[in-house]
Amino acid sequence: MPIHDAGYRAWEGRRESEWGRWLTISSTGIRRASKSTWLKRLLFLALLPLLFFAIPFFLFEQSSRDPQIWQVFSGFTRGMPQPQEVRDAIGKMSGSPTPEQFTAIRHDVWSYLLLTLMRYPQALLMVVVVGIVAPPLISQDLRTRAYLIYFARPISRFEYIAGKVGVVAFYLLSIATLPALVLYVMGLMLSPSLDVVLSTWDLPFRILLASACLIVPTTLVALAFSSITLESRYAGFGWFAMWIIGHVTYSALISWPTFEAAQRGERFEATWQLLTSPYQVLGVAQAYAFGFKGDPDLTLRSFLMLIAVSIVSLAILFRRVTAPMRV
Amino acid sequence: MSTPPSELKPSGNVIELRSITKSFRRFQALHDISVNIPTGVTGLLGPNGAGKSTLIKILLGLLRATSGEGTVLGMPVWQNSKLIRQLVGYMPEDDCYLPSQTGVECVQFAARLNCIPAIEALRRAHEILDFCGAGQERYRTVETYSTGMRQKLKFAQALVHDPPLLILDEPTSGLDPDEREMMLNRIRVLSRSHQKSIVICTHILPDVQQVSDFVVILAAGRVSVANTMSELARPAVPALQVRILGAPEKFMDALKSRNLDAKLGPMGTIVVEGDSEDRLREIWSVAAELDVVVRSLTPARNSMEAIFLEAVQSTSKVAASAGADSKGARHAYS
Repeated sequence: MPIHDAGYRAWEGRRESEWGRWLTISSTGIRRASKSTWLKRLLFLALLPLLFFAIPFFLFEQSSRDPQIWQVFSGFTRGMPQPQEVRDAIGKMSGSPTPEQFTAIRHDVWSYLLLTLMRYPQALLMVVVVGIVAPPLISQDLRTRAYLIYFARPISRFEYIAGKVGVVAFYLLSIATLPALVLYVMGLMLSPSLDVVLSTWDLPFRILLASACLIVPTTLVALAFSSITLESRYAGFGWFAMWIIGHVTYSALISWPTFEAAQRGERFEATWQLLTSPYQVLGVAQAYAFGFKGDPDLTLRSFLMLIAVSIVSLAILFRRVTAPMRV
Repeated sequence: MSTPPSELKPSGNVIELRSITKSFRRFQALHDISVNIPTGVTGLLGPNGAGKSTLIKILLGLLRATSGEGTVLGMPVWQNSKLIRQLVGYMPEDDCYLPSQTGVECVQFAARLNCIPAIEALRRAHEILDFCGAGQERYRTVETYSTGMRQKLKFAQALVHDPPLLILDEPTSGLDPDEREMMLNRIRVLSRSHQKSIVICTHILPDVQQVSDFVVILAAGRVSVANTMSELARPAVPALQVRILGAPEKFMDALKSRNLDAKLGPMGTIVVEGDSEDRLREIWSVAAELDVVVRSLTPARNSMEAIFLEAVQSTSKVAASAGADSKGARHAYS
């Protein structure tokens, strides 16, 4: 016993608001997950694409002054996947754009660059990061019976799930939203004119909307996987399998039509096939968030699919987190 | 802002249950449980599958009873389950911990879940771990803990927010005799000096006998016994229990030769029927005659084992006959 021990003492302090309980669960989860060395490496890796994407922003903004740079910019972006609107806008300008044309396409180009950042490097990192962070969050609580730590205290199912969602959402914000916002700010700083703020003011909001399209369904699905097993490795396996199977199915479905279209010298645009891949469905939703309308029917279906998946995952979560208490 | 526990100190019964039944599909876990648990230390006993855990879950509002009603600290269980869980400290039987956290982090986390501010939660965690006798082990991760240390940790987690009611599921299981005695002392201190009501759910009957003021025995989902410890321990016929130094046979023969009804009791004790002053005087004079050292001479008490076995057996018979009756009724109906 320590020498200063004075036996039991009652506690008469003032309690905090109960609204912050889920934050306690989140912050503890974030701290525990951050002990992973791999996760730290991935968070660092998530910042590297910024260096690459800063180049087209710089080239685009400088091309308003120097027509030579426009050629470099269009060459730089040629190899990158482009939405129809951007392809048309850039394709129309064979020479250097006039100042009016430049202002007209600036919003689309910025949106396109930000979408490409979120859609490709950050989305791939998202799959890996969530695959590391989410699987143990609930399955480990079920295996070690830690659910009693929560539910024997004044924690509701909603607060528990919100706390766990907070953990995954924090890391997704760190690897998807934060780099996109930093890239936007970098774009502003690399631009020689101040009117760039006026023409792109809505993009931070679009980044947040696209992040929500990414974070809500992926977080809920990942946690649903975590809740249906006591072994986090099975949850991780299920998570990665979902993306891989979806992508393989999509690739298989478009391979023949793409081949046929290529033989005719045309470009094949996937439609319903996109719905077989979670990655592509998220891409459609994020493109819509950045203002690229695409096929309205396909966009509607994608959003409906994301909403349905989120609701089903939430239902699984609510049912599974209290399942051990029902016996 | 939630109500601080100190404002809701119970006055009479801490738990009142009326006709609580709980069924899991066809299996009925609890049958018409009606019991009042007073302030103080209560032992909740019962063989495996008696329904103790189900009852605790109902008290915490984690499970909803099929029928019946109940109050904990004067509040209806189903309507106030969150507030009740804030005012109750629950120590589960199973190991439940967040891996890779240190002991002090685990206790701090439990305090934070009860809305204690972060810095204060850390201070309180250390204070409670001191009370629980956890030394530098508190800085080790919980996976490395021994069974005894895990019990201390669970106890600290249950106590950290200073609840007026503690529900301790097997608090002494897996502890060595020293640790067990210290745990029981802590329970005594909390109950006697800090007016905490404590429900101990255990299989270790001597623990209950040592610290409990009230005992509830569940068997086959029914309340078999609910009475004060002093009432239960009192034998049907008053008697004295004598413990002497040396073999008891000669002493017992001498008592019998004086027409005293003496029997050999447990652990080499001699039980003498009657507890009058004359009886006491005669026992002392026999001891003086034989030059025997009397180690103790106390009123005889029923052992907890005997009370428990009798309660469980009688309730099992009732349950079996009720089962037979219901089967008979089903046959008659069909």
